Amino acid sequence: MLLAGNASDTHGVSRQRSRILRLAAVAICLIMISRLGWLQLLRGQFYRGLSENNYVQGFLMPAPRGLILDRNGEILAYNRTSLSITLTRMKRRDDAALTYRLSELLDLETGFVTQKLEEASGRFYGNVVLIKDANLEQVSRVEERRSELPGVKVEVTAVRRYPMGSLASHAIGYVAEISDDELIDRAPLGYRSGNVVGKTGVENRYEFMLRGRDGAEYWVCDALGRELYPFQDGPSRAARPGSNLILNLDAPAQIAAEEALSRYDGGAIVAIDPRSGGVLVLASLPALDPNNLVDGISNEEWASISTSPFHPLLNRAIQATYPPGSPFKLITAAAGLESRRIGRDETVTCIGAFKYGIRTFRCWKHEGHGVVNMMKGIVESCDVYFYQLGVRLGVAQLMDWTGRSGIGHRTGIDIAGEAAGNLPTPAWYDRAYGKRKWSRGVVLNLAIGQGELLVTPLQMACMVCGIVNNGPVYAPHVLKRIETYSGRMIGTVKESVSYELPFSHSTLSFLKQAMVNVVEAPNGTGKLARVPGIEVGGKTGTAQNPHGEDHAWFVCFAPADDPEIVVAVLIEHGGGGGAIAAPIAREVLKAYLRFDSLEQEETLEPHVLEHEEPGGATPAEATPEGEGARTDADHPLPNADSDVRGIREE
Amino acid sequence: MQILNRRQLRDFDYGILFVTLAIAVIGILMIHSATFEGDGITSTLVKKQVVWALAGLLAMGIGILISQDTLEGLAPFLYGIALILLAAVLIIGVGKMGERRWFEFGPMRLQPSELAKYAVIVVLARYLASRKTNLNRPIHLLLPLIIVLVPTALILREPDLGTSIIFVLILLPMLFWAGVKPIYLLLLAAPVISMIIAFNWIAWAIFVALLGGGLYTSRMFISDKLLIFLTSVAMGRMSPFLWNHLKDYQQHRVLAFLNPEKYRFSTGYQLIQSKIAIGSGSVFGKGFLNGTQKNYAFLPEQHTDFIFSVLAEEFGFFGCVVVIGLYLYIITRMLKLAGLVRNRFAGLVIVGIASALFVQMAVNISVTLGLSPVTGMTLPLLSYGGSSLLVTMGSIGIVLGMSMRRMEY
Repeated sequence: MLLAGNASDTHGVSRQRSRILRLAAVAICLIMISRLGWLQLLRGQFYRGLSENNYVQGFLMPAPRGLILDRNGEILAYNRTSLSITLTRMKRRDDAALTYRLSELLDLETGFVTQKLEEASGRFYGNVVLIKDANLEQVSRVEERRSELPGVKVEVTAVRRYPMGSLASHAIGYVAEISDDELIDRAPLGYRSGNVVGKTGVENRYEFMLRGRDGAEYWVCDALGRELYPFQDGPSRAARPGSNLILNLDAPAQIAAEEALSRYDGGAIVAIDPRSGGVLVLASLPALDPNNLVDGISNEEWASISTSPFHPLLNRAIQATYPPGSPFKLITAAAGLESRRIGRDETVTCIGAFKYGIRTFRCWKHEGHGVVNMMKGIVESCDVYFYQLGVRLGVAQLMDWTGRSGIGHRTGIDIAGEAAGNLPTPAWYDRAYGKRKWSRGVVLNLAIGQGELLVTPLQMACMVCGIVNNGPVYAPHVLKRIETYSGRMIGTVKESVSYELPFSHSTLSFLKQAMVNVVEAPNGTGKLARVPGIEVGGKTGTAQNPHGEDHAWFVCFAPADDPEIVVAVLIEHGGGGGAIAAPIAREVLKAYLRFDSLEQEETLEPHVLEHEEPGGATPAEATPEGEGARTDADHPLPNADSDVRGIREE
Repeated sequence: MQILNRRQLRDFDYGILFVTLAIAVIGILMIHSATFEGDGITSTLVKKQVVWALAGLLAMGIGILISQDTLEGLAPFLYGIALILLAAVLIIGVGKMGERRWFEFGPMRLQPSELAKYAVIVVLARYLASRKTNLNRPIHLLLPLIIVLVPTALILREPDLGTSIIFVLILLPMLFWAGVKPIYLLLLAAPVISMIIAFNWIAWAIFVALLGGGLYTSRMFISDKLLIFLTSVAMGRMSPFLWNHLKDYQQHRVLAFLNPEKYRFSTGYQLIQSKIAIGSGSVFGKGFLNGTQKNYAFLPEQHTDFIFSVLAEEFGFFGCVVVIGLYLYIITRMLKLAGLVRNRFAGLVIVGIASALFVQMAVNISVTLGLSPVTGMTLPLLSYGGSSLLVTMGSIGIVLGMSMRRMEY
């Protein structure tokens, strides 16, 4: 084979390239040799000393997890210190003697201690927890016999505490020891077995902010495991505490909501500040006390929780779906106006029932509402009016407007597991029942919010936010802002418009007025939601439920002229929305607007924080009393434009 | 096959042969020391390594006898076989902690990525030596990239990040040797740089602007300019998209790789022990079998990845410099031979083999010295590992054969 490649004229070029590559190789070797020189020649004696008499032991310095506070600085989650007795792997130690001594001293089974020693030798840091949450007697016994117990130490650890118990537990979530599956995914991020990790709610969603970074310390130890002095040459570093989360939740309103809910078997309440999307209340009952989950629970306990007919783990506010009932009539009305199928003043006569084909659809008021225009139709929740409007719109058109109003889509709240609901378009019916196997009559049920249409309480609250905002719906978020452990602001959640209701301003202000009439007009169905001195708007609903008693709905906002809060209440099997759900919504409004009691109707008594802050708490902000605390969303904070989703660990 | 003639005997490089054998013997001694329990019994690992070294001598002999024309002709087949083996190991392979890196035949283990390294070298050399290849056109550099990236991608799936890095590090010296302008080597990296930099879009915009400006003023074919620019932009645009489509744990792995600080957490202890072992070796070491650190400390990979620490502890700075010097001798000698052989293909193969040897050696030693994140790479010829020893010796045999026939075109 003849190739011109290395003919004599290119020979010189080859030699030169060869020289360059050889030089590169020599240079890299010189770097390694100089490093060797540093370690072996200059520091040789130091390392020789280390290898002869002592050894280096690594200690993990767990980072304290960030606190979780409500918007007023009330602590929702903190860390309780706890003492534990740990055991470290050591060479040149009589493990049998140690096992015997430990079992005598602490009254433990020798088999248990042996097992822990084996566990320790399998770990990088070589230490395991022997007794978690040790009592003072155990601790003092170990401390007294320190010299006889090489490798045994008392360590201070932190245990997550939720001082308010089950309050807002679905929003806050809980932490527990990392599972083996999670460990496989997260080991590269520095998680180790025994670490705690957020399992649900905010604890889970903002795990990366809350966690902080564990520190590591390396100490030179003597043969008895006593630390002599820090090992300077190791990759030691200080622990960096996790960041504190300040939530939008308002503890007093949350307490009022859960108190009211607790009178029923199950239900959910969502309250949102329509101006920002901040979630003020996120209540779902029944709930569990997360403190019981932190230490880990037995499999039997877990089984009984997860198979309970009351589903305490289900976050009804965002994960459960229900037919929306009458509050949905607001969308039907808007759809009718926008697509010009009906005028506001056009009237329909209600005789208590409506005949469609061979079927008769009844109005909830059997004697009928008489002549009904749109305002009366909404305020008195006349079913016949909306049956007729539904027929005029048809399924396709009604569901088109509904979908564009956000129903059937996740709102994007910052808690995992949100349900999208169900938007039964004609295509959906075709899939569910087969083409042409379903009646156009379904639109009558849909028009009054019954049937296959399913929503979450959160979606209903968002819909009302859109109405009071004249269109824009801000993405709901539980997190308000993030601060370092020392209280320095890191970032605020940026308010962003998630979607806009597809209706004109005049339509939306009409709906708003209609909602005010529902509560404030003498014939309105939502009279029980009235709060003296403040104009409230709302809409009642009673959603039929094939499995039992009707679900009670109430959605509302206040004050009517400049709404600061939107509330959606759902009571499972509660019965009538006006009678059951509306008074609950009033409790929430009053708690949030800081009415201490009905007696002090006319005076807006500033709310005084009653709960003491546990020690070590970071005051979230100088809380202005009452009104000020709740309107702070109006005043953008210094870092208001840094989106929290963009924040990463430094 | 040719019969040896006098000139070939004269051109045979005895230096490389003896130094290779010397390193292999030192390796066997170090493995003995690392696995020595103080009871006078020789570990079975040592016996295995001796058998592998003898097999390696045989492989070396075969390497010497293979003519460069045969090798050049076989290159595509070797490459094809390597790809098939790499794909197969993903399905039926075994390894630590869910990895799939080796085939296991009873007591024998075969790591196909070891073989793939040399298959890539010969197929690259064949392509780069071809007269049809115009190395001054970036579009002609696409194929070498593909040749390297396909096995690299397969090895990344095992996953074995360390070995896949070698492949990329072999490509650059070979391209340089083939005569690609250094500036083109930089441009070749542009799409990769673009992909990484895209996480900060301002930096990315500046990068794209600079690249565009640079290309606009350069005197290249318009198609090449467009190719470089468009692939860079496309990679940059795709990067966030690809990122979001990775699973959580995959993202974490990448983050952990980019931020080895986090790895130090779990491997910090191991590194400290390695440092103490090396440092305590001081000038002349503690003497053969007298290392204390290796028995007493927690060095799980001491006969493989951390064999250099054992050497450093027992033979000190002096021993380390001698061993690094031996490697450097082989490598510089090979590079010199690459300049002497007349056959362009042979020259490229030698450069590839020398680079592979050097990169593995340098990365392994840097890890033990704490100069590089932990990669899980062994020290060629010295570490315990049968298939690695076999193919390394075989590849050195190929170099010896080529140097022997250096006067042939």
